[in-house]
Amino acid sequence: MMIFLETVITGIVVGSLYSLVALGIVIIYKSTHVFNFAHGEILMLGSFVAWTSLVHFGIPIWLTVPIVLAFAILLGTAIEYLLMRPMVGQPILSMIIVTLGLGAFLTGAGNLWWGKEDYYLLPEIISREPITFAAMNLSRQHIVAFCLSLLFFAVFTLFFRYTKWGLEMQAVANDHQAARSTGISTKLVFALSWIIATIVAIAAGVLLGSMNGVTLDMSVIAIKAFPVIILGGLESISGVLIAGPLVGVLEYLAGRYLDPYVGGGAMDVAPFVILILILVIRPYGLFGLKRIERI
Amino acid sequence: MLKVNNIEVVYNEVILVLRGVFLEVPDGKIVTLLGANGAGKSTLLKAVSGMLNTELGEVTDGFIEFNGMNITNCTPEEIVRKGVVQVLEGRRLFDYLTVEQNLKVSARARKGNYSAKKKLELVYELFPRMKRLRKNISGYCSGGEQQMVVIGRALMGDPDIMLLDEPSIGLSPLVTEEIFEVIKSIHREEKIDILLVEQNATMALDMADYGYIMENGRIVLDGKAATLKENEDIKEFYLGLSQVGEKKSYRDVKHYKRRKRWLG
Repeated sequence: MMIFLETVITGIVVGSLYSLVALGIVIIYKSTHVFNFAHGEILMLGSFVAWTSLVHFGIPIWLTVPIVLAFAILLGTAIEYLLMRPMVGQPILSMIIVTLGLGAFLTGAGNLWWGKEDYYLLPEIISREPITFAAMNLSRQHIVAFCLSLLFFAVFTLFFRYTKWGLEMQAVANDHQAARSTGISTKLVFALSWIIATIVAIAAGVLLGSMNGVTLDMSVIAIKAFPVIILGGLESISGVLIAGPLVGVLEYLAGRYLDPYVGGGAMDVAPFVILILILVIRPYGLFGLKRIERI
Repeated sequence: MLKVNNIEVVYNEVILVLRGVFLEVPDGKIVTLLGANGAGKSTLLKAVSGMLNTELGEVTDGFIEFNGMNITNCTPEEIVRKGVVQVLEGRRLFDYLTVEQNLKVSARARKGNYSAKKKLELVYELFPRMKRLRKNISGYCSGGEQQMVVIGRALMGDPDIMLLDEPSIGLSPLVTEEIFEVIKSIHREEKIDILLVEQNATMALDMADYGYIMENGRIVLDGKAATLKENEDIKEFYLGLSQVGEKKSYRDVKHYKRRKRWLG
């Protein structure tokens, strides 16, 4: 019983890290209807910027935060200006393909500067000493990820529901042309959503990096976020918040109880089994929007 | 005062859609633009509102002027801030937002004393039904309600002139009449000029002060709405009236000749 409980709790906190990663993709999807395949790479690159600032140049953390923020704003604006702006009014699929290309480009860029070593260790921002709670060992980073995803969830839910910018983002996602006709600046909305998503990505990346080190292939975490996004529903922030821990728990339960029978690997496969099942049974996820169609 | 002076619109750098089009909407007037499908009416409206450039279209010659400002090839957001708002064809709502969110997101402060709250109240006053629906998801509203939301959304932009692209499309005659009444009262009470594109020529000419007829990317006829209504060609081609009692025949050369003159 104790083992079961520990597995579940570990699953929940690990899953909340998936939520955090998925959140960035959902924000871009919610505001532009573009599925960002480059999210993992943005996360990776941002983490390397944080590492370079903290370790390579030895800049203190209170100064690193604004540097990383500035980088996020720069990267988000550049993506909007160079890649998304020429695509306004084009089919959404073309934009999605552009993000695939962006991902490949960023991987290359990362390799150029940080390809020398296998992994780069971030200093202990949060202590690596696990917390012992009711005879269970939990990593502090995971708990921080859990709290951070709760905080982001609250902030962005309010942002999308009540602020003018949040509403404008949803309007643009809904219908680019109609949004422009009412005078919404699609450029601003695109830039804003890419900047916000980049900030969220880097936050997740730094957390992840402080656990396992910053590596070039940490971008694969975005692939782990896909089942979370599909389960939660593509444009639902609350969906992602719930689906992350759900996927995490299933992953860890599968790892604990199925692995002995199948000889390992169940842990990695379980989330994608969910992904396929969800796509078959409920394509719009748990909380996603059902397409409004007038007949 | 909106002035379209001899513009030429080219799509994709090769397809010439409009040529030598002129049009004027004087202050305090309703002007209607009639024409068959594909004549270029929507393209003209999009040229004015700046919506062309996302569709690979461009004004290559002539200019468009609004209250003395040159707005040719400006972006839609700049043009909206100058007081020109287009209501797109086909009720393009933000389906997933509620009615009230649809309105709120379209609020644009153009003058210092603008208040989004007051504007919202005004829209609810004009469309009492919308106040009851304000928490509903707009995608599930009926066609007539959606058209009202779209017009209300344009009003939130605090325009001086509204470009309406076929507001009666797909609506029953009764609802169409309601929509036209609202447009008239917007014109009267809010002092907003109207440029109306319509298929329903009878109603459009009844409401308008002045009319333009477009064919194949050109203005072929213009005049006071009352004069246009009496015009034999308009009667036959747009109002569906021909000389009473006479049978029409394809041997009737007159029909062909008259049509020919228009295409010149």
